[in-house]
Amino acid sequence: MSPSPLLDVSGLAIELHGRMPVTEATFSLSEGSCIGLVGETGCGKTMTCRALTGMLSRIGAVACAGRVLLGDVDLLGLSERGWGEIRGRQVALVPQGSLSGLNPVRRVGKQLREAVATLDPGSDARSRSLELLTQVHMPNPEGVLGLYPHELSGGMRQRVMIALGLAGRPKLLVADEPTTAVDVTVQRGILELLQELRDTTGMAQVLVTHDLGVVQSIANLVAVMYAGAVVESGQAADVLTTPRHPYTRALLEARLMGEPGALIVTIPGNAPGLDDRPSGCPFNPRCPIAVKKCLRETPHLEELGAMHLAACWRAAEEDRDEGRVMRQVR
Amino acid sequence: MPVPLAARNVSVRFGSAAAPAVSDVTVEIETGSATGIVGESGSGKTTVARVLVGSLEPTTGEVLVSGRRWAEVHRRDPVRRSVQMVFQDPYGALNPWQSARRTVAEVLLNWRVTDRPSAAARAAELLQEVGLSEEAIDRRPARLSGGQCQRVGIARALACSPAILVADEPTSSLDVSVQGQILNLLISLRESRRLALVMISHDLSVVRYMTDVALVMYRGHVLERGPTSLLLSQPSHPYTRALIDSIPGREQVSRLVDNGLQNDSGCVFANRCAYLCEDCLAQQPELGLIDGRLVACLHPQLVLEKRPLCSPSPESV
Amino acid sequence: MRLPTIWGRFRSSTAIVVGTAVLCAVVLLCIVVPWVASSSVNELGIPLQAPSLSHIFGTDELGRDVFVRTMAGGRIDLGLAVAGVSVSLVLGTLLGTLAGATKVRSLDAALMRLVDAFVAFPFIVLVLVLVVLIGPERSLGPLPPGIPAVFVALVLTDWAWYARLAHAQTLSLCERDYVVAARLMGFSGYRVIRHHLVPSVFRVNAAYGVGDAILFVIATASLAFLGAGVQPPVPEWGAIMFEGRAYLDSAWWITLMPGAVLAATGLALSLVADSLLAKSGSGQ
Repeated sequence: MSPSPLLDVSGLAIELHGRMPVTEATFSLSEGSCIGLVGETGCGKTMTCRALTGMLSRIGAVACAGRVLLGDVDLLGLSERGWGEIRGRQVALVPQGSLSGLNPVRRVGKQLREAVATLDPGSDARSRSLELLTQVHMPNPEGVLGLYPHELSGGMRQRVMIALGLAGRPKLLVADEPTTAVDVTVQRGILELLQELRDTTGMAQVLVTHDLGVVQSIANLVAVMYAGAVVESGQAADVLTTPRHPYTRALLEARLMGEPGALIVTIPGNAPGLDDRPSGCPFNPRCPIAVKKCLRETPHLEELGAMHLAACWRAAEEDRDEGRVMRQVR
Repeated sequence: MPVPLAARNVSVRFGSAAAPAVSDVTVEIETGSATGIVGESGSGKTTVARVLVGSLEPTTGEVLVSGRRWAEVHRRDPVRRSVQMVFQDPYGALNPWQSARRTVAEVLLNWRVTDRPSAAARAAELLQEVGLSEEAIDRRPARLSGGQCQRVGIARALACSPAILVADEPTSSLDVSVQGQILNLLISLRESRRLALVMISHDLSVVRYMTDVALVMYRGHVLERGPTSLLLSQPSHPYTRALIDSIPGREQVSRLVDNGLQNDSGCVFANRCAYLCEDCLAQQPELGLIDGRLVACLHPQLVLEKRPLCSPSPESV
Repeated sequence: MRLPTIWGRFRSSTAIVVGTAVLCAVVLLCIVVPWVASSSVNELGIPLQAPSLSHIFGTDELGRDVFVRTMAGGRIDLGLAVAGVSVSLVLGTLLGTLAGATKVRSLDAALMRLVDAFVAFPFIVLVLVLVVLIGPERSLGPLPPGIPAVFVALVLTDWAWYARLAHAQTLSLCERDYVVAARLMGFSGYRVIRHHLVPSVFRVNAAYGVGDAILFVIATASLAFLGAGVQPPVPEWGAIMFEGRAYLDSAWWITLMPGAVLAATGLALSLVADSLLAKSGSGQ
């Protein structure tokens, strides 16, 4: 990893209408890297994205603790004016490419030209739009410029969203669930595109997803979020093969990889909503190895070696039930 | 003895659409079986589900439940109870103004399973059987999680004491950690109540887990049909192969391509097929028996033998 | 609908708080003032006095206190609005939902053509025609002349709009999974309509209904202004404004004061309606 990371998020906490969608988010990212931000409903990953792209104030949320540095720019302290320089140009967001991501009554070409005109005013809008579509491997870019979003397939729409994100030549791309709105057979193409963009432009990427398979495919770093906090982070290969947090382990085991007919491993109960987070470790009601300390004190991220961090009181224990697979009946 | 539920040569065309949503599909559901229907968006799998439960009339072909057409089954006929559905959107499947208990009790009362005084208690029992916690029983959907709503939907379907449960993507809208809970529930209910299950999904791993027989659909057509384990270990249709290879982490043997074909004659999959040959453009292949399963392809041996792709092709979209 | 829940939702928006406050004030005044000062409604006194401490809105050409008359008139306007909207709402919603939910296509078509016929006319024109046809001088029991005609005319005109709204909503609701499920469960058409369709449809329509109340108030006032509604000497906002128009340059308060109350009430209703609509649309 290069000496100073491109993106450094530490202890980020976000407050919204008296509740805390994010309690403690910590991760960092260097150029050319991709971090998968993994979590389920209510974990705070979308809100963290908003902090990275300066979209907190417009929904009334406020970062009440922590620091987000992009290079040496403090993103949390930026005014709306300051964000005007950063958003789209240094950091770009690629929302889900569903129909609601694009303006349905405007042709794709027009939307691209608008983005180019705002973010890359020096260039010729049309030729740059074509360039962007080619960069995302859109078949028949000329034709696509004249189409409306609903005339494109899901995969093509996602590529247009990515092209829009690239218009300002950003250093950091935040992609929110880039494969969720897309058919399974097309997902791989989108992920390969994202990988290729990193390889050719050196950009860093934050990939928000609930799918560990996506992380396995193209991310080299991963941060797992649960109930508003990053509970484990590190190199993807490391975390996904030897997870140290029970939640990460449970997520890995919950993937349907075993034999048909056997009971599927699940995590009992539900992820807590914003209002009913338990005291102590937020995972303790569902954790198979929770002890008394877990109910009383909230663990924080601790380094376990080689950039692998986990927020669990029992993460460092050598002989906890490593070999025993967690099985739940319902 | 007629098959409990069968769709024969069903086609569904919506309005004046150019292509039918479902084209000549035949599915037979045996008692206690587990059938999977796999496909992506636009495959027609949800339409087939709707046709099977009698919610939608096919344009051609027939759907027979216990040997009778759905149109002949009156709403108070016991046969109406025998096929029920679990929906994809857990919140949309429930009446937002009714509590979980009321939703289930309503069904019990409608079918006179219990009398009015004991309906509430019986409903609570059913809800507990599907794993809903006590404090959630009197809540409305807005105050329930996705997994809880899905349980209510299942309980509601069970209140009819059905023989066949059609589950349309029941876990797609749920968190990963909850998906397994619902699938386990469906598996255990299938055993305890001897239900036949029809599992509609885009997720091959779900189908692999839950079903014995699978149909692979693409743009309204069934491309391959046979025992699930066979289909997934030795696919004979290029599309099935591509679906399997899309599971993240797997090595990609084949991929979907874009052959740039303009018209729709010939095999429905021709435009995306990496093994496209001349004769594929002539007509849609019929389902033919090969190696223990049915496949609609003129050259299934290309896939079975895992021949490499003919030529490098442009990336799929 | 339980009160605590409504209040909880109300509080979250200043617009709705302001609107409700103004509305409550007007309603309160309309109930209390004419009751307390019942003799002053038609009591003659010194004509054309400017607003003062003893006559807050001044007096009209016959010396009657404009304030008391305005508040008495408010009873008619608001009363007609509430009664009229309620009846139109219920009637229109039921018919529209029935049309949308029925499997009998001809019933649907017939009802909706009827709706289209009513909706095709400009609102005020249709109301006017109906009032004239029914007879503006008719009275019914304790109700002053003109009110029955106005009431019936308003309801006959307005129900169609609710029916149309209900029909459109019902058509889209029938595609929702829970309604599909209700049919799969073998529920009767009545049950589906009553328990699964009407609750959602009614809530949305009721929110529109609050906004409609403004329309009714203005329509009643306009009719009286045109001489086709409530007849003198019955006080009513439009009637008072009508009587005062000859004195606009000398005694402007006769027309403007009731007009201001009318406008304030309309604005308040509008604020409340907007907020309710925003909240009911979510269906939760």
